[in-house]
Amino acid sequence: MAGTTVSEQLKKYIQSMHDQGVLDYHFDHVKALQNEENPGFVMEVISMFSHDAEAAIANLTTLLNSPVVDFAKLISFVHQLKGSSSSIGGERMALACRQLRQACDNMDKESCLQIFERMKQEYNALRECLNVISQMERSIIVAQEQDPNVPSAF
Amino acid sequence: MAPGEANSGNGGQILKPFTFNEIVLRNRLTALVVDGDNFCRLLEQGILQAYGLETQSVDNGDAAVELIASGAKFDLILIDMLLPILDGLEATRRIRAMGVRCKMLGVTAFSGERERQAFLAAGVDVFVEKPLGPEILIPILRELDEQYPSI
Repeated sequence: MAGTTVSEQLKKYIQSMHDQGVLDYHFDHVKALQNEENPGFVMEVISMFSHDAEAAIANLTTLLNSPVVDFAKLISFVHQLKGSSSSIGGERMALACRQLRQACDNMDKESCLQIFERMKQEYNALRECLNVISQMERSIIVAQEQDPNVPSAF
Repeated sequence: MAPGEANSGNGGQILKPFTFNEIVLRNRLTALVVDGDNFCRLLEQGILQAYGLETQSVDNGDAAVELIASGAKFDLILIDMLLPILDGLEATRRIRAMGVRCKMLGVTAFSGERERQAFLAAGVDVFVEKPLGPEILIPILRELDEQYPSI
């Protein structure tokens, strides 16, 4: 059955993301919150994470492009990104956020700019991973709607 | 390295699916989640609910203080340090000044010693770097559950 195949593919994909260090065990906690009453929870969370992260990144871009950098405001957005990326299991992005916070504490604009670029790369990698997961989750839900015997993703 | 294992982020270990069934609480504990970030608030509430807690949430420190002042009681308050309108440190101080003695768990994205000392001085019982995980929560929930007498 197509849904069974996608469920197995999803498990293997998440495992491979763990193996590559893109996701850590916190993503498993997020996945475990999905249940029959809320089968789209993972997709909802991924969408919320991406939306909020991109808004924060846009704000950071504006702040870093300013002639005089407001490091206090920078730190508040870095906090947000660190909290959300670590909560969804994006370990490498969270590490980049930690390094960016240190650069902000040192009020080192050049360092902030370099680390920010790296953080965006980590975000892009994480987002790509999460998008694949979200698409698979959607496929499973569609398959279940067509055939209730299809195993769920959780 | 064992055959089949990759040189990978987690050592190539096959991870078992995680479930929230390590503990079964005897009592219906209540928790207030105070976090200005929508995403984190959703997850924190979700995790507490998965363990069987009844939860409410607010997105700023002022709303938390008002809710407590209105008489709402909780077994556990989970409060972020960085909050809009009224920050987590001041909100914690005001909640404690009202005589609230429930367990307060201070969370933050960055757990430096400075932050830890400040949050503990403000009145939280436990200081945790996000994300909140079972290794932190389970002992706390067991302790809270045992405070209620057995039937």
